[in-house]
Amino acid sequence: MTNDAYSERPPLKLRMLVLCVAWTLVFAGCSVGYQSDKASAVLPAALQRTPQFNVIDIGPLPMLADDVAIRLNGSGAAALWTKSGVITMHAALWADHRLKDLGGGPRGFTTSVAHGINDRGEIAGWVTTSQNAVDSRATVRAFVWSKGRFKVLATLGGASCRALGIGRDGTVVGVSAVKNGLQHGFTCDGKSMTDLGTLPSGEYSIAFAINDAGHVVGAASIDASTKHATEWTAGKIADLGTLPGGFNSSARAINDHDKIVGFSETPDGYHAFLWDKGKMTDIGTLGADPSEASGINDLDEVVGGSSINSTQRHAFMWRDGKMTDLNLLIPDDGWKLINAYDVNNKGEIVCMGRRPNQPDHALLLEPLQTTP
Amino acid sequence: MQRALSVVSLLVVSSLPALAQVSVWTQRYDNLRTGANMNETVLTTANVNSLTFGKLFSMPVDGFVFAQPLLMPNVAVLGATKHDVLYVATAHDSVYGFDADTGARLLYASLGTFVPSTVIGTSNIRDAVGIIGSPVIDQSTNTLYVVTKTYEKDEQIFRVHALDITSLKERAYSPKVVTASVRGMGVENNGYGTVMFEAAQENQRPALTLVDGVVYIAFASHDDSNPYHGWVLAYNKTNLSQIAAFNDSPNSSEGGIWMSGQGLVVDAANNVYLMTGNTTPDSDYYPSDLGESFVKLTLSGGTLAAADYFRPNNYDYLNSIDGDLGSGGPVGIPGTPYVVGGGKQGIFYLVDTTNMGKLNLQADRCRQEFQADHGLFGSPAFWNNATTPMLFSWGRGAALTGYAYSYSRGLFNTVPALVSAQETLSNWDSSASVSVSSNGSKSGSGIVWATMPLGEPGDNTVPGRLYAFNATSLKELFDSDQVKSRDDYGNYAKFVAPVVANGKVYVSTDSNAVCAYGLFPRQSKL
Repeated sequence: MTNDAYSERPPLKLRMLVLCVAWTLVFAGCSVGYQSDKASAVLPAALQRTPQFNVIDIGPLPMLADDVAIRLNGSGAAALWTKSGVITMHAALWADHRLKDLGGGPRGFTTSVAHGINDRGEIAGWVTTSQNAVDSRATVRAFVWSKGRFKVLATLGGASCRALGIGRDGTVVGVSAVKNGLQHGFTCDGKSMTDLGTLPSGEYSIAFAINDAGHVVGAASIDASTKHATEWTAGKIADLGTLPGGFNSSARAINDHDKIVGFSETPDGYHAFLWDKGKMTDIGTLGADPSEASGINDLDEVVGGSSINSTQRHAFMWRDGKMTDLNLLIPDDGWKLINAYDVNNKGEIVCMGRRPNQPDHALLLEPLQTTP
Repeated sequence: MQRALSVVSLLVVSSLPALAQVSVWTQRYDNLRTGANMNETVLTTANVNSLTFGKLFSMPVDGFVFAQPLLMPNVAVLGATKHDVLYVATAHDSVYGFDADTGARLLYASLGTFVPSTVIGTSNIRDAVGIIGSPVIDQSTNTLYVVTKTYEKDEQIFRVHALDITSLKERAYSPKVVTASVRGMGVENNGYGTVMFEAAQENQRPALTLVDGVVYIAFASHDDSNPYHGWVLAYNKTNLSQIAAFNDSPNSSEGGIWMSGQGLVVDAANNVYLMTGNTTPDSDYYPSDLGESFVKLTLSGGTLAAADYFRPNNYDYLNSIDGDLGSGGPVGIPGTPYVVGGGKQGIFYLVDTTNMGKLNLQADRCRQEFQADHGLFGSPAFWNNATTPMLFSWGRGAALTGYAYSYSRGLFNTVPALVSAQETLSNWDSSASVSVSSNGSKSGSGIVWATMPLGEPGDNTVPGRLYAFNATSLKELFDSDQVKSRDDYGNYAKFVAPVVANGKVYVSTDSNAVCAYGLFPRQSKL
């Protein structure tokens, strides 16, 4: 999630107030929050739908493995991917109610995947030389798409590089191979690549997101098999630790208040977390583990996905200590929201969902207008 | 020296003289789990169509059929007349023997009282939990091995049975109650460093595997309901004494071995290979705990131990999204040291069994990985034809896809060589289950068969459809909805691919039947 530089909208504080009121009404009107409970296989009957969002169909979302995410900027533009041909993926931009195929990348590359967008509409991601978006033998490079053109970034000296996020000023974050074959997180200001380094005991790091202050979050290894969520401020790495009883964690997003979300192991499995002022808090599940948090806005609203039983996952919104199944907050028109990737300061949420027996779709949830 | 995965197990099929009846003694036809019968001489791309091919008969049984049927030719039933016998095991703990050509019921054995699904609280396996894993047949002794789960005085009990295939009577040394323990401090430990096998928590999901006189039986959970472990138990086939027990999470928990019902892969040295599911945090600090991994097991001196493994470096992410690597099972590439497999994420990993790569956070050290599917339950089928060896896979929300394998490069071409026009539904576990038949590499004989769920089968009973495709083009030859009133088979049986043998195609169902398809008898001229 990036900031809210959208001039035609009310000031952020006002919007935050409106949204706060709306969410207060939601939570006051129905007890839709529920925490981890292994025995809870279905939504409790008492939970009624209270539509709070319109659902806008962005279009089919081709299934793609790896740590992919749809990202949203302050004006509601989304960076995602679309299918071109039989299997090839192209980065795509959703803006002004239109989906634009950005192509496969510059000459020599055939596949592109977007993973970040900022308020200038610049998109970051990676391109590969294979028609298959996940191909361990292909050449992979980070890119920035700006003003209709791809720019391929350098690497930290190794063979591959992927951009995973882009900040307000165009600073790109991601992961790159270094000369000795190891993978390190990086930032790139458009001119040079900066190796973010690793935790003292580890050799691996990855950067997923950056906020307006230039604080970067991701993960770094502490030994050969364990990764911890990390934050880089002014180039210094900090180990955010894990939830109690866990060994692995990963940070995926940061807002402008330096609140960080991601997922961490717990004795019960993986849970979504919120990290704030040095403390990592377990924000629970929708009834069954695992859960993961993918996005957070400046209102401290968190979105992600959680299992509700052993075979089904639902998208969630977390706010003020309560996790809510987003399916309860949309009209009952057949969509099932599987995962929420990002939320902006307008309260818009980008999700993956599907109707029964239909392909996955990217969906934008727009908050319903409230009558003053 | 690299040790290639042999096709010894295929010799039962491939060394037979022309027109000899094929036996299907184990799930997926062979211990490489290729899913390919390359000795099918009757069915061809020319005669499999709705005019000449369709449902011939149904064989009623008493429950759902999660186990793949097996077929043995020329069985002297009850010591008398010889039949080609199709063996069907049900979730109601029954085993049937049907005449494979007529559907006549020849043999039946009730092996106990199944556990109602409501007792376990499982929604993944509806109705009843009895026999879930596919049996295996020892052709040298005419013995069928099968594991039952029964409900006795509020207790759930697993038993391994050895049945005479001519009568379905228990062998003298059969059955044996399944118990096990290993050293460890994980969940279900007794407080003294021993982890106990808890039958109520386990699900005998993978097919049984028979090699070198040993029957391997693997376990996972019901619906990820903790506590549970992934177990592999090794039994002496001659007396059902337990040789060894392996637990993949002895110091933690989970790591279920379910592979959507597939059996273990076996190499020429009798090492066995499997894929495991989600793991838990404590496993990170114990090298012996191997969730989200391809695992190589070696049996030596009464010990069954992990000799090597491969774990994708995003295993923590897989854990965070319930992304079981082990929702699929591995397939051995004949004549190579490689196995290939993938799970819910749809990435296929080609793993060198001589150096599997273990866990490397920097970059996976497997031979190759690529997106080949969109969430796979079950396993792909490998058609080792002389022209273009091909891996067929049909994940959820995707077309049936063929990936060409190059023996000279030892790699797959990651761009599909073949793609069908038909797609599966996008529901969570709506991948289709595929198998292949051909007459060697003879032109016009290669057919890809598939059963596809027409709904979300995870927690539901949903209709299914049988497909046949030309294996060299993936153009459809037949589906059971073309003449639905004649060819519909009922409800989809999760992850059980069609069994093709001797001119017939056998389809398991969740409609209390196994259906047989084949060529219609020629119409006599008036």
